[in-house]
Amino acid sequence: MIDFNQCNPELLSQLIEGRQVKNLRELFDEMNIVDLADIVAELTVEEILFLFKTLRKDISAQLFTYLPNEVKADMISSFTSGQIKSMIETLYTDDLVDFLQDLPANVIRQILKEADHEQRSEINLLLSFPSYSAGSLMSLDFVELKAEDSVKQAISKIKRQGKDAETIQVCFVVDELRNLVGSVSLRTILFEEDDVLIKDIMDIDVIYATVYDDQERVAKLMQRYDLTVCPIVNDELRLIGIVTIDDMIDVLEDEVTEDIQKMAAIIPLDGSYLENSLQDILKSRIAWLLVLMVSATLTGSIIGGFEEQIELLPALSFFIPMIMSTSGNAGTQASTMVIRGIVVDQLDTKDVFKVLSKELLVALLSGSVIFAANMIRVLVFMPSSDLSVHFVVSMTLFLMMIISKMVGGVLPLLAKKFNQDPAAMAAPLITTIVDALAMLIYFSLALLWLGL
Amino acid sequence: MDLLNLTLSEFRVLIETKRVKELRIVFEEWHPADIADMLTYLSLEEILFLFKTINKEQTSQVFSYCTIETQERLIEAFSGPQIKSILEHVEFDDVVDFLEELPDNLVRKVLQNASDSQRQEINILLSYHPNSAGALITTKYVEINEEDTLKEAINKVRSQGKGAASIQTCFVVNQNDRLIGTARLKDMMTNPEDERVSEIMETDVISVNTKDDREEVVKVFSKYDLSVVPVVNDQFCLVGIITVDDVIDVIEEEATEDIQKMAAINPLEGSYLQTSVMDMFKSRIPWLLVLMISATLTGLVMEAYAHITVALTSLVMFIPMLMDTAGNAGSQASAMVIRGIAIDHLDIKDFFVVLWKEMKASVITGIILFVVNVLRIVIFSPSLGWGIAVLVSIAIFFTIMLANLIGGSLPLVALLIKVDPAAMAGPVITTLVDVVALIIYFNMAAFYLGRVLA
Repeated sequence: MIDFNQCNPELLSQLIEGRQVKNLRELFDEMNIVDLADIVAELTVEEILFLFKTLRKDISAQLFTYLPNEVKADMISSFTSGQIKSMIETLYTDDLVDFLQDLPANVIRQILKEADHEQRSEINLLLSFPSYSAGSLMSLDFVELKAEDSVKQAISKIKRQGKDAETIQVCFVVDELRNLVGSVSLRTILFEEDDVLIKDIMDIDVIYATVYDDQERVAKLMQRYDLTVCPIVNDELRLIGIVTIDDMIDVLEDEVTEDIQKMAAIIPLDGSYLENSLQDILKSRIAWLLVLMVSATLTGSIIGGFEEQIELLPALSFFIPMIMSTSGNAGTQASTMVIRGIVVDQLDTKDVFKVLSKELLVALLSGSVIFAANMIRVLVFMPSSDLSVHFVVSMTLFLMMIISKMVGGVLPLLAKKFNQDPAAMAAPLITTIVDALAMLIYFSLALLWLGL
Repeated sequence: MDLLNLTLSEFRVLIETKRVKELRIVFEEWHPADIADMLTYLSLEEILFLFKTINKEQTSQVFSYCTIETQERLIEAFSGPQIKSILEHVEFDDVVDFLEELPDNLVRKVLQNASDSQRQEINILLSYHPNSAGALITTKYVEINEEDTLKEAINKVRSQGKGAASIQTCFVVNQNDRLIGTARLKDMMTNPEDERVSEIMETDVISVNTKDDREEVVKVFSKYDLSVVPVVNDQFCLVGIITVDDVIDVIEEEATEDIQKMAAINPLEGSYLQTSVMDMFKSRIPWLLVLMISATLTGLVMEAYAHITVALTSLVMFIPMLMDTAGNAGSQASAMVIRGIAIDHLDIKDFFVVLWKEMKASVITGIILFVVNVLRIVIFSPSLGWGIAVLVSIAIFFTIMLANLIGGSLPLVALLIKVDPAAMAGPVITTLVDVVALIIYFNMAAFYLGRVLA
């Protein structure tokens, strides 16, 4: 007897090499398919092909969905047409399309060739929607009921259509034109008498999305209304497909990653870090680096304008980095809060004055604390140094606290006003703007107070 | 008046004129989430009027979608029977969600109005750590026995299922209440009804422990594409389930937390507009102070190399550009690695892979920035000459390299010493990279000046 908990690529290879069909089948029955897919991904194509021949069709189809895309592509090119056919029959259409979208055109053709007429039109339908749209994400396998059905008829439809459906928790009700007219949960149906009509128990205010809606919008919709299934309709309100909530988890995670990348001055990049090619990483990073490097020239030339003062009092330059990074941090704190507020839908351009007044108050508090802390730091650690310079530095920090927080708070809202992405536009620019202003204020104060 | 598209003021008119019939239609037709939105703009009297006139089930639904501020106001104003009916109609995981946010006296008020069994259940849920899987569970699920026939099982679904959070999947236990499998309602309905549950159930159940961190739970849902996951205790007895819709909210909260940490903010819950100035101030000032004080380091470096800036004041001009570029390159690398850790592609064992990748990326990036920067200085500030242009640009090249390496490795080091990568790496990197950038810059300059003067 084999200990299945010890399963690793070597063991699996041995089983395959020894052609231990019975053990293999048992292993795949017992263990979770997602975990097994991780292990299978490390095998050679020949070994995987043997597995696919040996295992039950539905299990190999499931296994296939969870394999990495490179392995999938390798598999497809070595599959016989019969194997491709059975794969298409057992996979959910949306899973199939997900993976087709990443394949080269010739491989897609090979797959479509094996699909029967109905399957081909389903796949083509899904492939025709722009990526990141609800249409590209939806599943066509769902249970559809008529308003005139009785509960008994409905249950027998569910039994029949439900075999292939992604979910039967909620069924959607259509009229003769296949327009979406209502939804009814399986739970409701189960608790009703056989002869009750569906139209009497269905919910008529159905929340739905259209095929061209952005997937992020669908995710937000499902989150807001706590939906587990969202019906997808076309422009004429005809029911086309459904999106289930488990597909949305990945959408939400991707959106978060995208936002974090944008805020770190990276052009969004799909896929995991280790799988990203060097070229992709470079492309996603170099653009902003160049733009921000060149725009930092502005700060440089401001300092250049005060070169005389620095020559007179070199100590002035010691504090440039500290002032810049503190102002930058303050600006980033404000912009991060506001950007996140916009993304999770609480903040809008109409709130600009509320944001400003709040940031002003926070800035006054922070500014006072920072001012005091800096003066104390100097008094404790450098009691012999010239206090008037430190006063200028502390004063600059105080003023910059206010300005940075204002800029950080307003810029994302401004980006939204002009229909730009707040995360992409505001976050990288804030540092540059704040830096320039910081230097301007610092040297002007020095000029005024120290009379240089 | 179109009852399906009411404006806020029209809605208020309906309340003021006590048009109960129309209001009932609104509650019947609208989604509770939309009504809850309206409530945030109403006065307490107006809301209380609604809760008195509209049927309990619908108002309780709306209540569970209200913001925590509104919920707090309402609990404070509710009579005992009103709290009882909320407890009856709102799912317990949602009840626990708002109880965790309420002040103690209001929690006591709620618990006083709970029945013994309700109180017991709430207390169990409250005893789990707020960030653990236990705090997310609902105890309303369908439990069937492995020996049941499918007919018996479906009957159990009918009887237990009324209040259940999910009936799509039923959970199979043995005599000792140990979780041994799951059975899909779909399979139960489409197989012959005299078959046993044990024949159709799946035995490779993915479950989580009540003590697991909620981030772990999110990863499990995302990895295995689940819509519901059973939660077991240390004895592997089934104690509850977590449904995917609760996990979606966790994803958003965790993301907000991570983003805030990376921006040097101590995580703050709740929406921007509802957070008080004091809370905001408290969440921001610690890192501001820490980073300001640690920036003293950069000041010390500047002071130590003062003889160089005095000899060639124009060097100061390039400090902001150098520091910004270093900071940007550092946060680019750290953002990608921190996110990689959060969604589980990256681990400490990948340390050298990450370093090697950042190394290659930084060399190419560095070369491009070197060329652009030399050209920029030569073209726009020809008076500075080639020497300075090359000096500054070489400094940029090395700075990018170190910034990328530090940004890529620090989050993994944080993981190794069991500190949150986002909290530690995000803010710390800037300071570290700034210091390193300045030291490189001045050493290059010292070398250059030595050559020029000699």
